[in-house]
Amino acid sequence: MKISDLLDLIEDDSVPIREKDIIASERIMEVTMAKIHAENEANPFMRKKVRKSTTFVIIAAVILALSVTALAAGLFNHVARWDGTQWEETMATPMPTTAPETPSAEEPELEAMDEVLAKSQGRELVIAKCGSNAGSNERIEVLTSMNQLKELLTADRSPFTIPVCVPEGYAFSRGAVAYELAAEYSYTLKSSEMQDNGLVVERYTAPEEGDFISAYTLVFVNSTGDELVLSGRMSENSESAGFGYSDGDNVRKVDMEEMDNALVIEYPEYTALFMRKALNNSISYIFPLGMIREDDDPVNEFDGIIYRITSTTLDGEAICALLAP
Amino acid sequence: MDERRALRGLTQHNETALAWFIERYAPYVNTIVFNIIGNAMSIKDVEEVSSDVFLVLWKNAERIRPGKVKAYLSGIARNMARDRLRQADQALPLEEDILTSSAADMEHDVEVREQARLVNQAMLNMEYPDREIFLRHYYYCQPLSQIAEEMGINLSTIKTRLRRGRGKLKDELRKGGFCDEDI
Repeated sequence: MKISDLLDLIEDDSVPIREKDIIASERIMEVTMAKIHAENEANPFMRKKVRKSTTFVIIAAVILALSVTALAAGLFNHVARWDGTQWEETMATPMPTTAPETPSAEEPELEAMDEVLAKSQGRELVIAKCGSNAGSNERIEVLTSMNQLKELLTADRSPFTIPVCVPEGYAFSRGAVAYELAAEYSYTLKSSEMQDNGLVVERYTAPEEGDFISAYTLVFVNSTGDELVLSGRMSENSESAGFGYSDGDNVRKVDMEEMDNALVIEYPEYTALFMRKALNNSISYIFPLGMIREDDDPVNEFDGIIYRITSTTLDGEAICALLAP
Repeated sequence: MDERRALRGLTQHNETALAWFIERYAPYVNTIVFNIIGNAMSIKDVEEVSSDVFLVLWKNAERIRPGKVKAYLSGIARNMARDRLRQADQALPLEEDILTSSAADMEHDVEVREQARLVNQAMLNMEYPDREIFLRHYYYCQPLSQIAEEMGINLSTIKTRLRRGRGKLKDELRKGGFCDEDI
């Protein structure tokens, strides 16, 4: 092992190295934000504070429809914003897998953590902790019909909108809703156990009156098996959202009734219509991982809803027509 | 905004907080990355790696303690840049010795941790300016001529003190049973 390899094991900030004026900070910010937006768009259900891909694993198991977007992660080299502006970025570089804070020896423990969380479904909140790592499940309810979603949204007095009927030629296939807890409520610890492998699993309940729907996904299928996927999710920075695409993809700004913004992106494998509706009043919710660290402010705010409709067969015009027949 | 508030902002995915960190630390991160890959790659590559470093900060903010961000960024920047260099099959132009068996041969994580402890111990045992010279060369990957210029010490002294630092590190590793005896 070489000396420089051994120093991979330490972190240092004691040396006053002479900083070089190589790249403007604004440029680093721009490139970093483009990567963040592209990742957010690729994994819209990813819990922002969960380490590893726990939440995505869970949701993907329930709502396979999201996989089509996930496939595109890392392939985008442009980002489109709501106002139609587009950034050109180089996104082809994969993230290095080595970082000093995540030694490979932790991987089996992290896998065990993911496994526990992947089995946790329903309105119960499960937090798994392993050393300095922690993750939570996504609290979801599986849907058996579109009417069920309508009833849930009505009971919840939710700001979400959904199509008035199943799109012509399609039938309901599957779906799910995800819940967050309003900031004025709190989770109650139900049990805490340490497993043989050292994993600490905490289970919490949330008061039903404080729960609200923060996302939904509906999957429709036609007679040839083609899927139409509609999802809506509350967003913390909905106005600054960006959507990844690659050279050759068709991106255009469109107007959709009752929506503040809309974009159509035609990818090689599918077409997506993205729409944003600002919330009249932002909605505060309490983030479960806020319970883990005392100095972490657990309250976050949603300021809008981002809808997405994807189809592997319909073009942008046809998707828009479905919503405004 | 102070570092504690900025870190809290990052955990809430506040872009202003990220901008605060980038404004403060991008020149530092860029310099570390440039030192490592600048001779072999383009400024565009430096930009890519540096932005990846801040992406990691964005994702891992809740695990970083206030006051430790700069050290965290230096570690991430260094390792990401070295990964990038390895991907391109390029070697660092450092005066290196092979000190111990390959990491791949280590069967237990505890051995790696013990080596880290010994490396830290060796660092602590080095006096000024040996420690700084050692870190500048092996951690920040600065060429000897640059170290001489930045520290105002002549090149031959830098070489002597670097050799002394290597000796101390070998001693510590040997005491811990890690250093190959035939070196």
